[in-house]
Formats: sequence, C-alpha cells, structure tokens
Amino acid sequence: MITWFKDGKAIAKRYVWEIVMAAHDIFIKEESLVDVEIPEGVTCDVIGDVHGQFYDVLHLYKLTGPPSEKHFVLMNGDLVDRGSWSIEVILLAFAYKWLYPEYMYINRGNHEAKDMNRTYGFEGEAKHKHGEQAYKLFAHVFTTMPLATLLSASKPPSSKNAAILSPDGRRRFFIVHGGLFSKDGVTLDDIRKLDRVGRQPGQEGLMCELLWTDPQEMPGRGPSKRGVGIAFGPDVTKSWCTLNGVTGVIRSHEVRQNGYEIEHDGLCTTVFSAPNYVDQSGNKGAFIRIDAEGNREYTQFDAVPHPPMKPMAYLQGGLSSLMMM
Amino acid sequence: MANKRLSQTTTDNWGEIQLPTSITPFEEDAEDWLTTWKTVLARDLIDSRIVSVDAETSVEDACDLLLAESIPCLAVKSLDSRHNPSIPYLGLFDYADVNAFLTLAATRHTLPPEDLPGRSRVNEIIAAAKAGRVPVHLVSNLSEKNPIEILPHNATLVVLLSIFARGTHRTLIQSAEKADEFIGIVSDHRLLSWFDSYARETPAFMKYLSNPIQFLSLPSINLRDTIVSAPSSASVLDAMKMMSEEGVSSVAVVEENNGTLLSAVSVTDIGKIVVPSQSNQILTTPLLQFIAQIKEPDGSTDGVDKYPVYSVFPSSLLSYTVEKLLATNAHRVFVTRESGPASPTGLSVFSGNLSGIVSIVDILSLFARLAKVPDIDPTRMQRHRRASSASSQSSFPDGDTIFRSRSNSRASVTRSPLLGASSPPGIPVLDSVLGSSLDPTNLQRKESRKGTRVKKDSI
Repeated sequence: MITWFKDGKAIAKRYVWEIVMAAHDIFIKEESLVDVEIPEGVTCDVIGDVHGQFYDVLHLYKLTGPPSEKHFVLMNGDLVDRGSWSIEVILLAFAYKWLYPEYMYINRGNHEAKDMNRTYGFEGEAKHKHGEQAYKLFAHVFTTMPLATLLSASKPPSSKNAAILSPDGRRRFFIVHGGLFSKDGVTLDDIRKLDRVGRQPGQEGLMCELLWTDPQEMPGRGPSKRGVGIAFGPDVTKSWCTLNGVTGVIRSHEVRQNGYEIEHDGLCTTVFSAPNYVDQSGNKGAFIRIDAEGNREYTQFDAVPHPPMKPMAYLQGGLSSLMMM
Repeated sequence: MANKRLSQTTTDNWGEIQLPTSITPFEEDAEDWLTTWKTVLARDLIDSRIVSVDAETSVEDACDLLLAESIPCLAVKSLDSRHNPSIPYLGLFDYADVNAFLTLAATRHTLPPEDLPGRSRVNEIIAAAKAGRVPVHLVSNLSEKNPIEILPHNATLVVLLSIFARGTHRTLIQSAEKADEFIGIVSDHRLLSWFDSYARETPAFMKYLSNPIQFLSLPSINLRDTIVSAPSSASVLDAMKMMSEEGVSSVAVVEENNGTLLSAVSVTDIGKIVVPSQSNQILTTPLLQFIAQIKEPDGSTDGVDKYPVYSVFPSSLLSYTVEKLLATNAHRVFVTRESGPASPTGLSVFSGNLSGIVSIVDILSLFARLAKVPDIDPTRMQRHRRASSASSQSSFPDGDTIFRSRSNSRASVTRSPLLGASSPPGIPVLDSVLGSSLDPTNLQRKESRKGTRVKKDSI
C-alpha cells in the first residue's frame, strides 16, 4: 500500500472504509487515557505532529522502523491538515493500528476535528479523494481516538535522580497533543473517564485543553493567542506531575526549530515531527525513543523532497486549485 | 438608543428568570478609579509611530505602504497649507478605507450615472479612476469610520476614553512644543491592555470585570438577527460590500444550513489578501475558501495554528473577554449562545448560534460610563455610515432592496443569497487597483450586458 501511495495513487474506496472501520473498532474499546507499559527489551517511539507530510512520514518510519513486538510507535496527534497527503498519512497510521493494535498507538490532536479540517485542508482533500461520506466517516472516527496515553516503564530506573516517579517507583510519561489545564487538581482518572465518542473538543473544557494548550515560560497561567485554551507555566507542570506521579509531560502542537525542546526544567518536552513545516519553516523534525526503564533518547531528522504539490492544495472548490497552479 | 438596547436585554428569551440588566460598581469604587485614571497621561500609552504619505500618493502605493509597514493606518499629509495650517494632516487612511475603496471600484457600474448630492467624493474618485490614478487623499476616511482625532500633549486617559467611547480606534498625540507636530498614536487596543493591567493591581476593578458580559450593558451584545453576517457560500465581494455599507470592520461567516458561526472576515484580511491578488477572481471566491486563505499563514512558521473564530458566551466574564481580545489581537469577539436544551428550535434560517458582538470600543465605552464621560455612543459612526451609504447609492437589482434598509437597525442584513446573485464575475474595473491599466470600453460592454438586470439605469 505504501508504494501505491508513494506513486500518487489512491486506494479503492472499499479499502479505505475497511481500514478506517477497523481502526474505529479498536479505538472505541480504548479509554480516553490509554495505559501502555513498555516491557523489558522493548522501546517506544513518540512521534509529534506530521500534518499530512507523507513523504517525511515515510522517511521517519525508515528511521524508527514500523511498529512491532519489540518496538512500539505512538503518534501524538495532528496527522492531518496543512500538508496535501493527509489521507495517505492517516490511512497508513490506521492501517498500522489495525495490523498491530498492541504496538501502534495514536492520540487525537486538535486538527483531528471538524472546525479545523474545514479550514486547514483535510475536509477538501478527503472529499476530493474519497467522497463526502468518507469524510464524514473520518470525522466520526476521529472522535473515537484516545485523548492521551500514559507510557509507563516496566523496570525501575537504574540511575536515581530527582525525577518524579509513579506510586510504584517507575518512570512514566503523560503523552498528550496539547498540554495541561486551566484548573489545578485534574487527575489521570478524570481524563480516563472523559466521554469522548462523537464529541468535538469545542472551545473550552477538559477535552479542548488536552488538545490545545501550550506551555509558557512565565509561571502561572495566561491566555492563549490561539483564541482557545490557555498557556501554562513551569509551576503548573510541576504541581500536576507531582500530584499524579508523572515523570514528565510529552506533547506536540507547536513547531520547534530543532524538532524537539525540553522545557519546564525537563518536566515538559515538545516533540514536532513535520520538518520544514508547510514548506516554509525550515525546522527539523524529531522523535523520542523511550525504553523499558524510561530513559529517553532524541533523534532529529530533516525534510525530504516531495512531489510538487503545495500544502493545502485541496481547499474546497476548483477555483482555488486553479489559482494555485 | 441606549434605552432601546437595554429593553432588548430584559425581554430576551433566556428563560423564566428575570435577569438583572446591568451591574454597576459601587459609587465610591468608581470614584477611586476615576481619580487614578485622571492622573494617567495619554502620551504614556503611545503604541505606534506615525507613518505619513503625501496626499497625491496613489491608493495602490498607500496600500503597499500599509502592508509593508505592518501598521493599521497612515496619516495623509495635507495638500497645501490652505487646508489647515495648524494640522499637517488632512486625515487618516486605514484598511476600512481600503475596503470601501475596493468595494466602490468593484461596484461602480451598478451606480446610477447622475450626480447625487452627498456623492461628490465618490464622483471624484470615479473620475480619477477613469483618468487612471486615484490619489489617497480622496480615499482618506472613505469608510466614515476613521476620522482623524488629535489630543493635546497633556491629555489624560479620561479624555482618551471619551474619544474611543465614540467609536474611533486611534488618536494622535501632539508634541509638547509645537501644536503641528505629533509624537505618536494611541490605539484602543493599547488602552484596553492598560485597563487589563490596572485590573490586576486593583482588586475592586478586577471584581467588576469578573462579571458575565450579559450583565453589563454592552451595546452590541444582543444584536441577534441584525449582526452583519454572511453564509459561507457568499463571495468575497459580498463580504466587502457588507463591511463598507454597514460600517463594520468585519463580517461573521456562518454555516449555510444552520447559521452556526464558523469564522469571520475583516477589512484587514481584505487588505492583506485581496489587494496583492494578481487577478480579480479573488472577488468571487466563496467565503469558506477565503477563510482558509486567511488562516493559512497563521502558525505556518511556529505551528501555532489558531482556532478559526474567536467567540465568547453571554456567561463569559468580561475579564476573560478582555484577555481573549488582547491575546488574539482581534478587534472584536463574537458572542454565541451556549448550546443545550435551552435553545429554541424552529427559528429562521439565519438564527444559528450567533447572538452578538463585543468589540474593544464597546468595552472602553463601559469604562467611559464609569468615568462619567458625556456623549458615549460607540455605534454612532456605524449608524451614520449605514444611513449615508443607503442614501447615496441606488438600490441593487433583484430584490436586494431589503439590504438597503435605512437607519433602522432591525434590517435583515443577513439576506446574502440574493446579494450573491448580483455580484458579477471578472470585473475589469478593479484592474486599475490591482496593477494593470483600466479599459473604459471594457466597462461599457459590461454595463450593456447588465442592462437587463439593472432596472434603475433607465431612470
């Protein structure tokens, strides 16, 4: 299938439906906060936003390897919109989920939502490639995607430092697309119990914040220039991690020139995996490899060339694509 | 007018509970704040320098300068000393004026040929366009929403409030030594951010701001059907016309079937996207697509994608609304009804969830009231614009007369599908703005084709 996509061909609608429905059936059984433990000898790679940049995703998978028993993959949201191969990216991810439900994990991002898909390209691309019903199917299945993942080490850490550990003495990481919350005292259970199926993140509330917030340097909280959500400071991260026994928050949602950035004294890390974002930013992409002890290793990568199609080439209506050629 | 709006609030169908119409702070608190405000000088809030242009500069060059300097407005230098020796500028030029000009250029063939009173400037512009070049001084304050306001060097914050309370968005401050020299511009945005910091230091004021906006008498919070909005299938030109004629700086874009608020288009978006556009196909672009073009550059370097529309609920606090306005650098936020069983069903097509608007000058007018400023009327210029645009232009063909309702603010300006029918594609007239030369014979050909539709031509 991958070669098919690389050559610019679309797969038959029937296969699209099969893949998406299969992914749906798996997601629907997962809780809004998925617990994943990394067994001994296994690593897990956390991938950030990819935004429809299929050719960069292929390059990334060459570096990480496909999901397997020895090697899990977690994609942290924003697989679609902006880049013009969102369909290929999301189908690849869903196909992996179908093939390897225990090795492949995907979190929902703020772009896996109706309001964003309308404006940032995915709706146009989906309708163009596979029709309106297919878009509606994607829109529904996006709501079944889990909102966050708790990645736990299975062995206690070998080096003892000041890290915050789980109640049973191991490192664990809270992986979410956006970030933390406008109120103190949110627990992992609150997230686990969120009723998400069929719901859009909206403009406020816990689901919205999980997918939209950003870290800030100043302590405390502040308004977000995105118009939705808030910005949270290092003190907020520290108290939340301490409350919930979490070693660190790993999130995406923002470009980082080096592909990743460790912030908030190591408690909050941003990983972004769409290099040269929308053919403009010139940034590197990165992914984080976590092992059974909870050690983290960071790898960066650059953009690779792609066929000549601009980002957001599928804006609704033929007029736009005429204007863009 | 203010009384009429208050009565609207009390009779709203929010349910059985009779809600208080307006919360006001304690008299002593308000007086304390006023005392402080009187000590703050307007010149300490200057947030932008003055960039000026010669009166004879072409509109296109002036637009380019606006875009290049990334500032919201230019000051247009006087033609000669005859104009007013003590003030070197005859007016300002901002994106609302750009929009008014572009709309005029694109729709001038629908105007009746005879010279109507109150249209002399429009006629001058049309004549200049035919000659090939429109000087910016003719377009200064064409929108009638951008008058030049000047404050003396020692003006206080209260005087500043009084200006913004009448709907103006910026004011020039004179220098200490010479009355015809200026040290900068203070914007309404900057004043609002001052109040935001003041609230953080002044608990009583913060308490006042911590009220839901529905309980403070904001003038446009409950406009409902009269909010200027367009369906997502309407064209860019429709939106431009609405903004120009209704005297607003932005149009809400709502979903076709259920009127849900999707996004908004502002005069600044028009300036940034339509002006540099290579062809006039942009004018017929449906708004849904245009929004994507507006949003595309946001977040393309830092990945900080923005939400497509900025809105609040009637129950949102004023402090939250202020923060949102400042953080997003928007001039206004929309007020949407909260979803839930309380929303009545079976309303007209355009009821949707959009119920009002809160703009920066609306909020400043609230503070002006506390400061006992006389003559507070943030929507006055807008009403004046609607009245003057209605009287100086002919009605549009094909039943758009509804759109031309006079100063009656209950006009259903949301009947855009009709408007869509009358916007002709491929208007050569605009070429003069967009770079190529104007061909008057082309224009005549278009007019004859329109002969069957423009019924008023024969009058």
